[in-house]
Amino acid sequence: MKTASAREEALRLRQETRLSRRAQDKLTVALFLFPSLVLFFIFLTYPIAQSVYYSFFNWKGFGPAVDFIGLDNYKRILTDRIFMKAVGNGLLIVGLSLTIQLPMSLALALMVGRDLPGRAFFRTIFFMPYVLSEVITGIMWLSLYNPDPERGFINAVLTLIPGVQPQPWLGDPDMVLVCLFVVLTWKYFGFHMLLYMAGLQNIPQEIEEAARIDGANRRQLITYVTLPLLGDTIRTSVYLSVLGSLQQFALVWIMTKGGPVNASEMMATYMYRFGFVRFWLGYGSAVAIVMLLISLAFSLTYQRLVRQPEYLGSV
Amino acid sequence: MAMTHPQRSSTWRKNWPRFFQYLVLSLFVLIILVPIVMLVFGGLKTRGEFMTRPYTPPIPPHWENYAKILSRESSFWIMLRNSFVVMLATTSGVVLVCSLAAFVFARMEFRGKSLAFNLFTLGLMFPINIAILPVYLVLRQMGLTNNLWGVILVQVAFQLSGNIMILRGFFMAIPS
Repeated sequence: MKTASAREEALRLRQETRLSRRAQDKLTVALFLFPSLVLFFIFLTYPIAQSVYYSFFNWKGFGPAVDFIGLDNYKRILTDRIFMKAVGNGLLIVGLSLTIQLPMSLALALMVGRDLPGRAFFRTIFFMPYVLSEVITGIMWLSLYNPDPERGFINAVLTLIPGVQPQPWLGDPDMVLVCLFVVLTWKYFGFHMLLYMAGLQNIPQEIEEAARIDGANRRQLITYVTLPLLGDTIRTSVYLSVLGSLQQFALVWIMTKGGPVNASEMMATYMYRFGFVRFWLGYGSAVAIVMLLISLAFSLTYQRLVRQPEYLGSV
Repeated sequence: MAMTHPQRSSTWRKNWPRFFQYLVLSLFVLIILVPIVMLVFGGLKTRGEFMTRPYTPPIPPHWENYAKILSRESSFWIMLRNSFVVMLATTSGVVLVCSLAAFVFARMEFRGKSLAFNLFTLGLMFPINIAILPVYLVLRQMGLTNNLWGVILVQVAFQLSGNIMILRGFFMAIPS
């Protein structure tokens, strides 16, 4: 009698635990996802939603937003010549990065290659600027670009060549973007080079050996074997470079504040100027939404057309 | 003599691409190092020296700049402490919160899994540079401006997406 009830008890207990097993799993999922979902909603979803709301108001940040103006902020952004200039500048930086900075990084990565003696030394030096903060980089280059040859290193070196005049660099609206691009390249080419070097490391050496035995010369080897096999890495680095260029802020703000006369304005400096300097929060919100849409459109198109990231296909 | 001459020219022909490689790479090393060396020089000069002759070597070096920064009454230590607090809190927050979520995505099945996961991937496309104004408005409402928590929580939130992806990959690589 006693043993039977004990067995029953055990059976009941086992059923109960099996039932509660599923409940337990649900509880685990809920508990484990809770913190990240809360943070995500408070600091990503909610701010976007709120900015969409504020973007319909003429709101200078004091008191509640009451002056509803519909789509006027957006109309103004899209007809503002300075914003268009900022978009154009961003695209110019993107273009220069894709045609100069990335090929240069790739060439250097190929040069350092797998087995060059001193490889680790070059890799370390080239990666150094990426580790420096953008603010320090900006301040450093401000001094190098100083138009006075007594103070600016670049002009000091240039004027050593007879007949060469010191250049205004950042003070010249036609030159300022190229000057900023030089700094951006200085800072970021090591990062891209490191990406390419990692990609090169993943190419099996046997394939290149086979091509060499088949009589491919060095150029053929690179164009027909190495570059196609580096495809994924190149696509990733292009993606990162475009997004980074479009969102460029700290370096430009430190070095030129978007000047002279808006010649180096970026979308992010434009947003900062209206949002945090003039405190037109409604208008600034609208700029943020426009920027977000531009980045989102680029990301989605690029991933649809060029690169399907592996993590999306695998859920 | 007659034997060595062609040999020498052939080693030159064989080695000159390598020589060219080192030449180009050394040039780049120079371009990288010059601004950084200028910065180091600048740190060893007085304000006046830096203004008048910023790119010459600092002779004699003025170590008192460093002494001033590292002195007891300098605000450097407060800033260092703040950075340290933010770093520690952000890193532990990211590791804790992201590994919990990544584990769930790697090992458990539940309704709405792909929806939740895709939500986090969307976060990858919303960088902090663009979010700065919207996030600032939220921090202001929460009273978290002028507060380290404002920095920490935002940093953790914006690193969620990327780190959940990475950690999920690692969890899936472990055989269950």
